[in-house]
Amino acid sequence: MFNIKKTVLMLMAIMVGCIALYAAPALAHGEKSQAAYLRMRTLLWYDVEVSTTKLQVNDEMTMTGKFYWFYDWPSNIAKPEVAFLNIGIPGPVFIRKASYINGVSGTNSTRFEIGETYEFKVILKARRAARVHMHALMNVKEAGPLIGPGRWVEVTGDMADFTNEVTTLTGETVDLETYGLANAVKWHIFWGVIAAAWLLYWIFQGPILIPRYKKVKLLNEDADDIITPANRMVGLVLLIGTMAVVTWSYYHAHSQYPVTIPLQSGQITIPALPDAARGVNVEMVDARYRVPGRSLEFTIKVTNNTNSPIRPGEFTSANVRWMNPDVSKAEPADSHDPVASNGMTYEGGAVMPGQTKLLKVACTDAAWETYRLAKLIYDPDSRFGGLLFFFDEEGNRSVVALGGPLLPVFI
Amino acid sequence: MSAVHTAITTAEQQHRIYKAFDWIIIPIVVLVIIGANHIHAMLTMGDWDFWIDWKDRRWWVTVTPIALIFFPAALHYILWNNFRLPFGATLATAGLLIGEWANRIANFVGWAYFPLNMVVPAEIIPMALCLDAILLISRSLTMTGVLGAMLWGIIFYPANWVIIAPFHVPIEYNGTMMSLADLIGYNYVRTGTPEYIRIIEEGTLRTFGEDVTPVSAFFAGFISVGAYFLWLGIGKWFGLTTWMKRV
Ligand SMILES: [Cu+2]
Repeated sequence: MFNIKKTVLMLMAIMVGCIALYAAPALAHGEKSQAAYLRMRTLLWYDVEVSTTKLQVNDEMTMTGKFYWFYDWPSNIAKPEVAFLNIGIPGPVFIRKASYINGVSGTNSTRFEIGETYEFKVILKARRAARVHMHALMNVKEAGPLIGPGRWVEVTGDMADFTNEVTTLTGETVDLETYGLANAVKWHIFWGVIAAAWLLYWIFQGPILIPRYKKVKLLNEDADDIITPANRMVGLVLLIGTMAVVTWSYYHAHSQYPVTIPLQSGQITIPALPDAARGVNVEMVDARYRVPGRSLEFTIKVTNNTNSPIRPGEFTSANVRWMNPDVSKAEPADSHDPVASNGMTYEGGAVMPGQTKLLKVACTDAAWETYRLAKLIYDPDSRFGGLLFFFDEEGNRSVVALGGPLLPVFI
Repeated sequence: MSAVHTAITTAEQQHRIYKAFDWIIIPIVVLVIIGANHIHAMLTMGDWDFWIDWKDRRWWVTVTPIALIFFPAALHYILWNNFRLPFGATLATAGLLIGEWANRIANFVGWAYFPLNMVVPAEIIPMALCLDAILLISRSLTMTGVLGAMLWGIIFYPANWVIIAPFHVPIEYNGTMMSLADLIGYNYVRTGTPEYIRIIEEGTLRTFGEDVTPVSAFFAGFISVGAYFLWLGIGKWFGLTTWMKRV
């Protein structure tokens, strides 16, 4: 049976859900909220850079970087069959002028391969003054947003100066900020006036509620007699007039815009970049997280098939970077950029060409706590993942994905 | 009611009371309709009505008339049966548009800074005028349900084409052909509404696939007819005097 209470409750729940969903991007900083094992084993971003962090309205900036779809993708998360490269900002502070994935335009949604690397570039044009924490972001259908590294960006100037001019295939140059608005408003006002006139026509026939109600009850089966022939004539004029205007406007729009296309919804597949490991092979031997020391310690068996000695210089996961400054240096880009400049140490020395040996790597930083990654050991799936960067003597980089079960050490 | 009767002595006094009753009740009813219909509209057609790049010729054309005939039908039942007033549909749609415009200007533009041309609501008044006019001419809810609701579904797209046609002009952008509506959706970053989330026409291998719009419009008309009668029933249930007795 139809249960009104249950239905109302359900509708209210849906409504609250919708509101929460719409409000979510406004709250910003989703970077720490997802479960640690999901952040470490889904999309791993690196080399993310912005061309500038201070700009004026109408100035352009570029965000570039790479992302790797982790090979040990959590089985409960939808695979990136349909995904969209996005930007995490509160409303259109910028417009997206262009976005590219491996050089292919990212206007369409895209299919990606697990275990592969892609590079991206997003060109943004500042639209309104604001200071925002801007993120690279990948939306994956049925999985949700996978958030990349963020940067504080400040836009100054006046939004009134902003324009977004484009030229159509029919040769018109238009400003998308206001395009078609005057026409839309005009039509809404036109029909609004007719609607108001129609309602007022009835309301101004004296008091309408009680007298008409009484008459309807009195006349009973002949209640239709309340409607006068004049009333019906007005109805006929309204019907014919409305149909005539609709028909005219339809053909008028056709002659004004003879060339139109339906909304475009195609999806594309983009080939991946070549393997970034460049002949370096890593096997996980053992991994532990030391709770008191806030340190991830793992032993790996490394095989170097390149022709130069290699040493590990960086470990990155969930947008946090642990650097080994002897090999590779990096500093936080701003106050909210989790880079542990001295976070990585290792034992075992360089791996010579052709050699296979064990390395013991430790990644230590408070970021394990502040970025809620240590929570991994309490997750329903306590396996971790990340990217380890090796550098040879010429500074060439090999990027190797690694991961596996993580055991906590509490004492 | 009897208490009111005894207080009135002259016809003029009675007229004044009736008039006052109108002035008190009508604004309240209008506000309730704006609020309730707006919630209903957001829950059913939501994004289709919010964004210019969701207004396609298959889903939007089908979903909007079907979702929006509910309140007009219920109001037709109540206002026609009790008062012989034929403006239920116009009241419902004009009220909804007031709520929608307020929402788009305050929230989408004022709060989130989307350009207004991206979030203009669909034009729904012409359909309502036809529905009301047919009720008045035919003086029959059944005729209105069959003819009017069909017309309601069919004229939705033609009535809106004059507003959305400019946004369907093609453009070449970074090597891809898009409509200006698609481009606006791409330019103005929506973090929580990625491209693929749009439920829009994707094309099929069926023959005569290009005649999508009339097929969708007639389909919307047919379902609107059914929905109209369903909601006449719900209007009847809401209009039951047992509610009054309980109050
Ligand atoms: Cu942030």
